[in-house]
Amino acid sequence: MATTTTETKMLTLCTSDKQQFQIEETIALQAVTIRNMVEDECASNVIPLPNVNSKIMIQIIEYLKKHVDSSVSKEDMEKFDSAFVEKKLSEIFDIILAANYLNIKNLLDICCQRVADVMKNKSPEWVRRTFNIVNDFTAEEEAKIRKEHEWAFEGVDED
Amino acid sequence: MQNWGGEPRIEEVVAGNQKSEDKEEGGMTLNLPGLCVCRLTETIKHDRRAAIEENNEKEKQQTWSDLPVELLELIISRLTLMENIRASAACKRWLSVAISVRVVNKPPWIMFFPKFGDLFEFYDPSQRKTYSLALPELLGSRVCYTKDGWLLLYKPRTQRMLFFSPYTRELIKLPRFELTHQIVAFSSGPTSPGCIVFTVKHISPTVVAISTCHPGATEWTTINYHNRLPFVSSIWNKLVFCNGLFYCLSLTGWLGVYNPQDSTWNIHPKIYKLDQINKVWVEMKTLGGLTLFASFLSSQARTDLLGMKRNSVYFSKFRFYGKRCISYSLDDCRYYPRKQCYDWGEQNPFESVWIEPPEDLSVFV
Repeated sequence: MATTTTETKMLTLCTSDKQQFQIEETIALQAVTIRNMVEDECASNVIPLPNVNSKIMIQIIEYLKKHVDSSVSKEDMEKFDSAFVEKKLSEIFDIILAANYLNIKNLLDICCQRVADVMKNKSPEWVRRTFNIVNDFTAEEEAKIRKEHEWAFEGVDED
Repeated sequence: MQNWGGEPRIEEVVAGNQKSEDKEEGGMTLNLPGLCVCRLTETIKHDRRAAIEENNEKEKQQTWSDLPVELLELIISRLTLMENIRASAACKRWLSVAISVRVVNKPPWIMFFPKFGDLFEFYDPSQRKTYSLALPELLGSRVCYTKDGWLLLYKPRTQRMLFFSPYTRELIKLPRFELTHQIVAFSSGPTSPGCIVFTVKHISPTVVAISTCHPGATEWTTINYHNRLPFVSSIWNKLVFCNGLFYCLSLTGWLGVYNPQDSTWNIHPKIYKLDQINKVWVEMKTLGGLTLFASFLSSQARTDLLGMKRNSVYFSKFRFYGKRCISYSLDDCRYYPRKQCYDWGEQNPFESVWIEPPEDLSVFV
């Protein structure tokens, strides 16, 4: 992880699996939850983040490091964002939870958009399989939804 | 039927319990059977292992079906109406979230003008309900155009043109103007900035007089334009305001275009207009999901409607005994109800008009 330099103020983040990450304060403060904790001085030098594990923290730090850099053009930032969300949905799921907990709005937005994009032209069966959803409709209930909005179920991708 | 494939699969969902993860040998990798693989740094101590296992156990159970409602809302609100409906068929939880964030447009209503009296009927085609409203303000006046919930009225006796909102009963007067056989349109509601009222009248086959006005003006502005092509103004013309321009389709088939920004008037020849007509009304197999609401005085288009057919044209006429609008579906190439048809020539242009529905129904109580 980042090495300490004398000038820059560093923060230590402690993840759910008790891993410690030392990062520059300016990078960490982009997360509103961390900023509030620092401002309220309820955290000493180590900030506990019991809802984020180290695997996800590594990715979030990668994101925050890029976004703190004001020299990156808007276009390059968008490129970075779209490459960043090219992950397995399971990882996106964890990042959504972490971004929500840490209150990093743009990260939450791009991850939710990624999930929405994945669902384009997909059937309900595909959605259930992919998102591990148990169908709790009765046959009649499901048939009713499909019949009511027949047009919406036309032209879905082959599973 | 409910059981769509045995056990719910979890391989896509649980973080990294796949063999492929084994390759990621950076530092120390723990591979606990049935649990998540977690990459750890060298500082891990053995006594923490139990805590990690417990934590991973928790993560394993955390799947999309556990996603908090507010986060599911964030995702589903980014879907189009079609995708939203598909997602709603996944499970009950998704159905309720999908419905709560679903954005559905309202179709316009038909406003019927009574032959006698001042009781006006408003018909909601999606709910197939009729409401009535007494509007004595409309006595002795003719509805010329409607947009943004406003009617443009003309009182022939006083030669007065005025805006009227049937729901708020607000009246906004325009300066005196004599309307003969010509049609009028306006760009937006009179309370919005940039509202322009427009009408065109032919003086001679090659000269038209274009008159414009705006709310608050003391008089109309009339400018004569010389056409290279003949343009005949008539009550049977079609006039529409779209994307900053007034389009006027004359009986002779020529299309006049007026730009209020620079006060220019141009006439496009017949061939062009015929091509346009063919493209839109004959050759198009679909309206791209659009629903059109057509009437003599004004027509509207909508997307994302529920309970109304897509790729269809609804006419401002309905069978009272069947309580449904007459429509034509481009998908099915037929009228609904069957054996109905809509002949523009047979209709009284001043019988009804499409109008935006009110914000709420309290005006009818």
